[in-house]
Amino acid sequence: MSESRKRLMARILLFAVFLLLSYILQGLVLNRRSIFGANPLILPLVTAAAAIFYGRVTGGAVGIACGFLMDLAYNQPTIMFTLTLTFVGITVGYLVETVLVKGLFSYCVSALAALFICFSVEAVSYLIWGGAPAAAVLDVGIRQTAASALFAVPVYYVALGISKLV
Amino acid sequence: MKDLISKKGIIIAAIAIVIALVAAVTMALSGGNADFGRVLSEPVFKPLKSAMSGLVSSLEDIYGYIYRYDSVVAENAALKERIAELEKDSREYTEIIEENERLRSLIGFSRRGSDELPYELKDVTVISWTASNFSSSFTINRGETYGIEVGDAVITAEGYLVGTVTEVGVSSSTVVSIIDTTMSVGAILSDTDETGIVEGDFSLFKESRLKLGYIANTSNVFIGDSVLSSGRGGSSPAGLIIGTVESIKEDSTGHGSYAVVKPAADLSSVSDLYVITDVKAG
Repeated sequence: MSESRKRLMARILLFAVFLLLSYILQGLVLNRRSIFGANPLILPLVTAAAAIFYGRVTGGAVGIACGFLMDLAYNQPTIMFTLTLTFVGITVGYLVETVLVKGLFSYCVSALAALFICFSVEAVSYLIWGGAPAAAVLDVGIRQTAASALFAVPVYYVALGISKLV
Repeated sequence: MKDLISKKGIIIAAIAIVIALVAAVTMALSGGNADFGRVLSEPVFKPLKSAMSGLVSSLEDIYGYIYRYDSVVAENAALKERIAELEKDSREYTEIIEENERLRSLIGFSRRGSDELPYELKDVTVISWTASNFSSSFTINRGETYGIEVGDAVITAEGYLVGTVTEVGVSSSTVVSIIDTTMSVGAILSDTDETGIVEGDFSLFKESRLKLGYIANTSNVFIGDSVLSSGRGGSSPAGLIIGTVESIKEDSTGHGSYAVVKPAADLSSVSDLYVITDVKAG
């Protein structure tokens, strides 16, 4: 097996473990203990981190996996976040390959954008079809983003560690 | 732009679209059964959810023991006192029951046994809750092989309504809780027989409260009234305890009022539940 193939397999394995742990944390542990009154989103942060370090292909692939797991964690069909996080992963990866500089700042901006996109995708149905008051929806979004932001830097450094290994 | 839509980028995006399309089609055709993604992942994730649920519950118990020791000791003393009172009441009730039996046998009445509940029940356990901040649903450890169907009501051992089954897999199912904004149940007040509709409301979601609206005469609604399911609309069988009226508020449109209902079931601690799979006739 060639060196590059070995590194690819190792990268897949490490990210698979990282994804599984993130899913367990978001979907099975933190959903019972909210932070700032909301459950944090970790899988979008993992997608942004993968895209920052490895570009659009890995970002998109990790986005598919993260989106799939997030739809499972939300007890909903594997559609909404599977598509959303794939789009996030490919877009962030493309921006890193063209205009953004790899680093913590670019990651933080990308992670915030990913969280905002995930919130928007979910909130729009409640606002348009559910008749939910905008203030209440915005309140949930702010608390959700604040709770998720606590995990942004740790996720970045785990992804950085993986990128240094493989 | 040409760079963005390179071959590998198209393949990744196409894979995601195919997954989503297949999920959408299977969801549309299955009539409430889980989509293909959920079915495929069930054998892997169901044991993981069960294991994590047990582990987190144990850790929460340890945390509670360590940090609430003093209050636990005080509660223990109060509970012992309460047990003594209940044992005394139990002895009195036993005497009353025996006298009741004797009198019934004198006038020829047959005794109603506990197996004459009006429902067929299947016991289930909650294995995970949704991670969403916009909805309230959970996964139970039984599915279609156990006789669970979409639309089945889920209750606690005390008969408190918890939610309704909305999706059924092979060995697990999704239940949407009563505070979810997509839920609505026909309701009746036990004291005044006033009817209305209990539904989840986004502005009450954070406090885990329900909205009782569409009430014909709000002057017949009082704080503390018990709210039961009316059975109308077919969403839940009649007679299930939903909660109690906590307050009466003016509608934001200015037309009429609604009641805020506190659910009888403590949704933060539900674990062992029952699914009503059949309602017996008569």
